[in-house]
Amino acid sequence: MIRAVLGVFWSHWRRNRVQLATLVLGIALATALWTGVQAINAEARAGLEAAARSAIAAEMPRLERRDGGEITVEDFVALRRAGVLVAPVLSGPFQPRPGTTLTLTGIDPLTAPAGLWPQADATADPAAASRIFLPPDVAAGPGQANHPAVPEGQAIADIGIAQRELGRDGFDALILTPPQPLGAPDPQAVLPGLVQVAAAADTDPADLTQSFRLNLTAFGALCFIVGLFIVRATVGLAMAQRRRTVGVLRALGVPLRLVGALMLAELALIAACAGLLGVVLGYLLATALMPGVSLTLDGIYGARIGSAVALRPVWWLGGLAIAVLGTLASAAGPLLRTARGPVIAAPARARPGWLPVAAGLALLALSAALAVLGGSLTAGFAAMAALLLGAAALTPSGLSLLLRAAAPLARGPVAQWTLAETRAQIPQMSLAMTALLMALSANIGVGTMVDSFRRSFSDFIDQRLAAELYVATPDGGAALSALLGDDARPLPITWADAEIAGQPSEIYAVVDDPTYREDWPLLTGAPDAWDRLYAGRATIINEQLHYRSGLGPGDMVTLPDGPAEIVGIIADYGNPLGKLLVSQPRLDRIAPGAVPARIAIRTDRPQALRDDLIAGGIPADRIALQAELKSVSLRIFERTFAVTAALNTLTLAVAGFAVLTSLLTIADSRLPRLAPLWSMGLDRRHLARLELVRVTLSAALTAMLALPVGLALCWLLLTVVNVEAFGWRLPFRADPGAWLLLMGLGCLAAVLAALWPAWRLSRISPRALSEVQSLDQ
Amino acid sequence: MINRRALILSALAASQARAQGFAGLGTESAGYAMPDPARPIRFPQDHAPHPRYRIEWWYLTAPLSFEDGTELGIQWTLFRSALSPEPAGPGGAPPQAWLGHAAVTTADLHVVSERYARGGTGQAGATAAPFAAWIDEWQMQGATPADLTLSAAGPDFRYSLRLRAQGPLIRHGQGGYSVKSQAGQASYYYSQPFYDAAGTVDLGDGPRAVSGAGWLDREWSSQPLAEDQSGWDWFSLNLDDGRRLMAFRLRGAQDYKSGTLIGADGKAVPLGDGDILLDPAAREGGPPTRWRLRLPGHDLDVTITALNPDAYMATRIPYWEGPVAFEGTAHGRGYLEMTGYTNPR
Amino acid sequence: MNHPDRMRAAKTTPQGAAPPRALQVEHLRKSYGRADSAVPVLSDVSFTLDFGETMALTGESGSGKTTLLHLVAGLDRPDAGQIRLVGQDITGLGERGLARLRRHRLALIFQQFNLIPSLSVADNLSFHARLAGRHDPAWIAALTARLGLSGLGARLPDQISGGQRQRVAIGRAMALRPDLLLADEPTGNLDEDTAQQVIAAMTGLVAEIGCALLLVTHSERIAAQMGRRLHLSHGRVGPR
Repeated sequence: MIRAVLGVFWSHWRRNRVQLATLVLGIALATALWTGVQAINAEARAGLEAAARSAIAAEMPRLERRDGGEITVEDFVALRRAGVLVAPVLSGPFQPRPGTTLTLTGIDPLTAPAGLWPQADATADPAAASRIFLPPDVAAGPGQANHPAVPEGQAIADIGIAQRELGRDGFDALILTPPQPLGAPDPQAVLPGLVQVAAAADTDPADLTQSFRLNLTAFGALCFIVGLFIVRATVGLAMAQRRRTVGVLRALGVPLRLVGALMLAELALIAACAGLLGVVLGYLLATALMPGVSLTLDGIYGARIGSAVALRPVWWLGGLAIAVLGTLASAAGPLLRTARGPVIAAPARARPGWLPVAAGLALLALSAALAVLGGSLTAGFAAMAALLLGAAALTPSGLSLLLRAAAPLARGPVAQWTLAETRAQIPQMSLAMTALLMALSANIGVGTMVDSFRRSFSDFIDQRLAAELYVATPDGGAALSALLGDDARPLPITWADAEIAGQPSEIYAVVDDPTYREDWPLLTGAPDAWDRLYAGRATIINEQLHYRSGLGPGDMVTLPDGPAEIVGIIADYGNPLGKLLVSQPRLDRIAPGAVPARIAIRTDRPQALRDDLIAGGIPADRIALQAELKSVSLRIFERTFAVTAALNTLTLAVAGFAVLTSLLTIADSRLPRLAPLWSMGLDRRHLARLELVRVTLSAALTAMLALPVGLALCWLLLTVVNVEAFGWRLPFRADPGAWLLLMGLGCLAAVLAALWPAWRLSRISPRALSEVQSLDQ
Repeated sequence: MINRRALILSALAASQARAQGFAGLGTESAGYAMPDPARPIRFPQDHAPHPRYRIEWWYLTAPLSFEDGTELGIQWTLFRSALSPEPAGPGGAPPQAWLGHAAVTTADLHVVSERYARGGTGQAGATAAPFAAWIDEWQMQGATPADLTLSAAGPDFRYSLRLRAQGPLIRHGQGGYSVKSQAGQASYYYSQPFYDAAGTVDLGDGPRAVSGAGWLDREWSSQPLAEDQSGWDWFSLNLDDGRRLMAFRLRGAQDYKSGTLIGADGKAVPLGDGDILLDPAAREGGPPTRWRLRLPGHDLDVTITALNPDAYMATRIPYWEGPVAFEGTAHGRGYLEMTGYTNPR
Repeated sequence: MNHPDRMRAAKTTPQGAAPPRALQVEHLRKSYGRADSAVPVLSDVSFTLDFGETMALTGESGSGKTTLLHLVAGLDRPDAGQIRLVGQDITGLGERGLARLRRHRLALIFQQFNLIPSLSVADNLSFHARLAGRHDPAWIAALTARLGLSGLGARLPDQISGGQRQRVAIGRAMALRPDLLLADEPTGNLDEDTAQQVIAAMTGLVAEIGCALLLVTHSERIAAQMGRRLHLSHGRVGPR
């Protein structure tokens, strides 16, 4: 009997190849979406890490010679043998070929802190240590190799190679590598000629990029939902189409349990094959969308290979799990329905009933409640999921309402028919349109998030790097002050660590300079906030401290030297600590003897002043130019744009495919509804055009519905998820142009998907159209 | 013991290995010196490093006790690996890389640190006279191997020991030529198994006095592993009657067992494959930390138990190494090293 | 030709020449399938139908009735022969020409009613006429009343009975004032009484607007109510 049933199944697929192809492709694409997003995510992570990496050497505490001179190999060995763990660094201009100049940094891969050397494990391939690593965009010559972890404009090589290339014998600095051994000595006690230097400017993007990555992860989760949804849609259709077959088999005496089991087994097999196809497809897509990324299969068995993008088991297993579990879960419902129904049932008529509407409204209410009352990261993510599912449940009814509202606008019978028919066909199109809605709203949400993030960060950089020049001053700035003329205003940056309102915090002194009043806007605060701060009794705190301590303007906060009134709040993106600004005299009271570790300098001639300072004996690597710092920070976002574009393309492609699947599935049932028009004198091309219009109309209305959903998603990401995860709120930045573009792309995806079915309709044999109207010949 | 540490060394020796494929490890030693049974180990010349051999190590393990009797163990290891048999430049030495491992193990704690260094700078190295080996501030030093100071530190530990030999140096195998497989892979291998050890161990709460025994292994070769050998189990045992036992099993298509039974007077008896019976007690998911070891020809039958079953070396090439105690026809303490097992964590 | 007394020249040409027949079918052939295994469905069928005339098309299942109807309606193309609709040979027309013909001159009524399910009764009634640009609200109002459809205008087709649906189909056809009305088993899905009412309404309206009616039926009783009868047997016009 099993063989006979399998024979029936097989013949079904053989006769309905398009259906089988749709099922396989649907599952494969959902899987591809998941794996592709994971790959792109990982690539984004690698890119961000590369961007961040360029700052690592400068960000870590390091030892330099007090006189700015070279550190010798003997100095390095003396420190190591005394038990101070240091790693040498050296950098200078390097031309991989004429016309291209990179900054070559020499590193000792054996002692360097983790993350500095491009490869995760330098010892795994010592032969690589003889190569110079270049960023992916610079062609590698002999003795050179490209590596995705090398930031643009940089090159990395073994310290010995770098010494040879740069014609140097010693090192620029020694990085102090944490953790130091128990009881390690003070390095200055070992070598008195050395001085510990802080970074020239504090623009470590690590915390910011962490936030960005969290948001990308959220997007990955959304894609997981969308993927499952599409599998559900595809399998649901496949099951519905075979209900008759099941009915006939049962009428012939095959037990339902056997049919069900065989069907599940068959679907699991198809899902596994399609899932594998999807995993491969996802990787091809990711590689195609993100050129320059070398995907390696090294990680397929779980081996860690550092920052390089690898096909990690969690991705491909996750992809397969989506495919198989999603398929089986999706098939369970229809199977149960078939089991409960009569042996041969009429095809169920799908109409948007009150149940999905009620469920949708309940989910939206739940989402709102979670967002307002949740108070945790999990609640934030749950709110996003509830929002998306609620919106999905409401999509058919929403479309129906919009179409009903548009009905009076129709002029002429054909327009009237188009509107009426579009509305009547919502049940058949609802899965596709819901997929489109989810894809579009996720894209709008994440796109807006990325854009808000970029613009806020860019503004923040402008604000935080208001001064033209930053100089690290291990000596407290004495040498520097002597070199500054009247045309430069030094702004010493002095701070002390303290625990304020139970939060680890930093108290910064600000001198009375227009820079702060003009370039450091307050999120909230009194108009005379800065005056009151300089008067000494008040403080301005950062958003993190505000959220964590619950203190705001008007509240008193206890500083180490007594109380201060909070008069304002400033944004401080990416800082994990609380921050308080006080006047310089007040910090002197709080931390007597604190000297500025850095000095910001306002000047009209930054480049010239830099040269002057170097000529005056300040080591070049203690001076940072604002313009260079900005360009490094903002370079991160070139990557994020590529990532966002790639994600948009992927999700819209999947949604487009869902539309195609739906259209192909209902193509046969379209004929009886179109035939009357044809017999009344609309030719086939006209009918095909009308079908295109119908799909476009559905897609356009879906896009209209997706906009508010996407903006709500974005709001959740910016103001709930981010605040819970990092303690600061990203301001929302509207970008209607980008929204319109995305909505347009969504419609385009739907229209492209509708082109083939429409073309088939325009070529259908007239007999097929006439036959559906009569039973007899 | 060439093979037991070969995997660890492959971390450093891999440049050649990768270029030739792992199958080449046993045969493609072109250019490196090879152990020769006709040339036994000679002292004091062979206390010096042997840069013409591919790999070499200084390995000290010490089962110790705090003053209150609480048991612990320390490990101190320096590996040398030649990156090429040829000097990098005229008059220079062959390029070397150095790797240090140090650990302290108690019943409920196992702390590990790892250091890397390139040769030629002085950051790491070894000399014969004085007898010294070092990487960073980690150091083993004495006028001769008979009287050493030993120190190492990690983020969460620091120790310092004095080791005084109470017996002679032992050459394993045939005058120090120690065979490691049926196919004839071999190394030079000598030990000082008779140290009395005393000093301090600091686990972050201040230095505390410790005392116990110590065991030094020196070994060098150029042929690490037979192709089919996947890992090894190595034992160094201090019997209460003053005897010492070194025994190992190399796991391969056919296990290869070997060892040396050392009398309290320092007289060494080589043990062949048939002289040693070694049975692991099953332990799920990781290396076996209980063993039964028998030497039927010497009336020895002991059950060996690890002090801390979780003594995994969380180094770049992970393995298991920790102090053990044994009971049966003899009692005592010692060290156990196991490689090539799946680490359950 | 059996009932010349029912012939009526309802339309004349401006020139006063011999008026063209509503429908003229000559030597029509049609087969299905590939050339080597073609199954002939119609072999040399000829007949004429004048304005105001009604004709029943009868025959066994598979005798070619519906094929003939579809050929006449321009829904399908003959292999050979001519079909003249009000003097115009439609066998040479392209798809657009045929579509225009159906839009302006022909109306079809089917067994399954073939109403547009997404449109209301009122919209269905006026749909064809509006497509042809011949929307006449007064005429539609009259049709609605005559067909007993008053008060049903806002309903959807699946909210009314089968008889009502077929009357909507008739109304939709008549609203166009076609030259030729083609009906394919229009009462096949209806009970006897309802069928009788539908046929009466249809023939009454045909007589009123003077179009020709070609009606495929299995029912002797309905065939007998038509002016003439064309019996098909194995694809040929033959005796009953």
